[in-house]
Amino acid sequence: MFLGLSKIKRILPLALIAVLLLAISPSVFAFTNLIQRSVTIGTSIASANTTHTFSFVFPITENVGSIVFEYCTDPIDSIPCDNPPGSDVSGAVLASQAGETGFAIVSQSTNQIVLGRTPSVVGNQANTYEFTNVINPSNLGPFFIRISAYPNSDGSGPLLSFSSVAASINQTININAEVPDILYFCAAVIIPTNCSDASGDFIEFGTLTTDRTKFGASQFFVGSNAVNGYTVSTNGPTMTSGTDQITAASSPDISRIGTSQFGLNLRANSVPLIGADNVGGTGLPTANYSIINKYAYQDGGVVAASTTRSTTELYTVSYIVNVNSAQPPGVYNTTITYLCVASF
Amino acid sequence: MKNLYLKLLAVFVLGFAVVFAAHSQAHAQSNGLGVAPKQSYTMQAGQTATNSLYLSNLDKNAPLTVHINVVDFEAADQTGAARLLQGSDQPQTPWSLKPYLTVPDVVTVPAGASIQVPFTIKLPDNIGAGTYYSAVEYTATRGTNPQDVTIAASTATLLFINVPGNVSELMTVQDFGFTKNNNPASHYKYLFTSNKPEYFGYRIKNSGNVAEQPAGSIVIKNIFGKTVVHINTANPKGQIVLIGQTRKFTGCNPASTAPEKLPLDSNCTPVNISPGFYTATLTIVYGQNGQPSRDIGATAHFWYLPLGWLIALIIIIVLIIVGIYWLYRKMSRHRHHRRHR
Repeated sequence: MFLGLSKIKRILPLALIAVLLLAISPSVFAFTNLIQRSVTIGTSIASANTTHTFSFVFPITENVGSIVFEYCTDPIDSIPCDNPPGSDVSGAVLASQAGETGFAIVSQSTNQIVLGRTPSVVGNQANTYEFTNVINPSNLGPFFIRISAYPNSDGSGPLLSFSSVAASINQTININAEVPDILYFCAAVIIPTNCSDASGDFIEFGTLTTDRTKFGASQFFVGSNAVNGYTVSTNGPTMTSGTDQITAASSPDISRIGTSQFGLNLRANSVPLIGADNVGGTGLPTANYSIINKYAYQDGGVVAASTTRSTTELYTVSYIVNVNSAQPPGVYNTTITYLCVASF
Repeated sequence: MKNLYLKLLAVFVLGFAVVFAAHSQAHAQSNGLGVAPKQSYTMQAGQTATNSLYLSNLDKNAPLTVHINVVDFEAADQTGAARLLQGSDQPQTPWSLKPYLTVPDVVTVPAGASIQVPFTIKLPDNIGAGTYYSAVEYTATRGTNPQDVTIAASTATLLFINVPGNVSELMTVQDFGFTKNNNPASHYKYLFTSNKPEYFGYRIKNSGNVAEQPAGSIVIKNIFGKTVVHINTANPKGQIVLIGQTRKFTGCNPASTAPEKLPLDSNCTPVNISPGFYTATLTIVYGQNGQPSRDIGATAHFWYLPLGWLIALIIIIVLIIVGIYWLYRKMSRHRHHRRHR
């Protein structure tokens, strides 16, 4: 039995399309098992001796003889369970129970509690189990408790229900022991090494004329151990004199002598001969400010960013200003505030 | 040798002149600031708490006057970049901390020193559960007379307060997949890869009233359903999705699972898999303390085929097609001969 060539021709594209669709369209799903499940932690302070109260509803009406609570760094049942560092439930006590009752602790270890009883059919009401003398994990951040139900009294037999609940160790308002991330930032005309020797807070262009581009440079320095990086934006209007203003280059453009134009970039330029590329770190100038010899300015525009931890980085900003013959005379100036904010 | 030194000096002076060719004048003072970029706390409704924010003057020679302002912020895009809402006509955001947060307007930091800036948060009894956040902005300006272009430096602490209670939590996964680099602009969906994948990415939409920090894991199974890779930190940098934001999360297969190394980009290594077809499953479990836990996730499929394998596979497929065609022709000819006889 052979497929005809014409049939192969017809089937092959369909098969390829099927494989392609399978590959490029991730299927999004939601699990349901134990219903309305939650954990309430008495205090979310790291390493605290506290209470953990579990609530859930069984989605089944079968014989349940045991419930296993397993503390893990991962919520998935098929993955081996690692105990969250510092967590200890080996001394936990079952303080109260509601809904399906008659349970007692039949075994426990550092990260596992097994509740057992004479197997009986469960209903679909809310169930609550409160444990005291539980030691919280020592690290800030999330951890998970896997909850499984079994027909036998000792945590054995086929798995009837399974779900994980998420919990987290948080920083409370009155604790200041954490070593925080630090962000160092400065902006100046010259930064020879770092912010300690930065100097200069204004640039003078001299008299603006229609036959020459006036230009200048400044620098900013960023240093941070924050893992999610940072953004640096420029804040302030273009150069103004009363109600008169020099037009800000809204998109990257070359320096155009004889037109009204104010812009900046963060590259080593040749026209005019000004600026330098950024040095050190993982950050980069953003698209509008990273084209050599093209300048732009937008109030609030992000000029540089890093998406990862960046130790120390020095950027050089080049400014150009041109005026046309119709530019009203006056003293034009602006204050540009460089704003550096860590990403979240 | 002397000539070499002179040449180096000349190059240095020339380079310096090129970089700073402006007719600029320098004031010998720095506006350098050191701050804690992000702080998160949990507070109860009705609670009043005081704490302090770290602020340092990086200038070792002169004290620094810093203006402090509370500003709302939002996500600038699908990454973790924050956009401070500084417009004077900017309406207060629903999650603003402004009404509850008190900070000094101005502080002076001695030369080369750091201070703790006190702040007070007073939450009303009837405040709703959820996350409230604003930025504490610090601005250091030295210039008193505006020149052509006056330069100022500003930075901020992003302050998050979680108020426990009956919060509304709803996150949905928009997409998920593995990628070749950790660029947030990368697309995560691809069918074939000739290199072992190293980085993963997914987007989550937060429709609740809590700034969520998703946690979960990723499992990669081969075509037979066997787990070959398990990454138990789907959010290794502890990134946050703000209220109303759709955010891209990126991470990688970690070379070391030591907590201090997990957030580092240098801690990435390609997954150890053989050529073949794979299914990756992302599972996120979330839920505030005492609130219902929910699971969300997504799957993605991909082929890992090194170039050599791909070429061999194409040759095999071509040979199979040619073979089928040859057999078909032979059978057709055979039938034709039989009919003819």
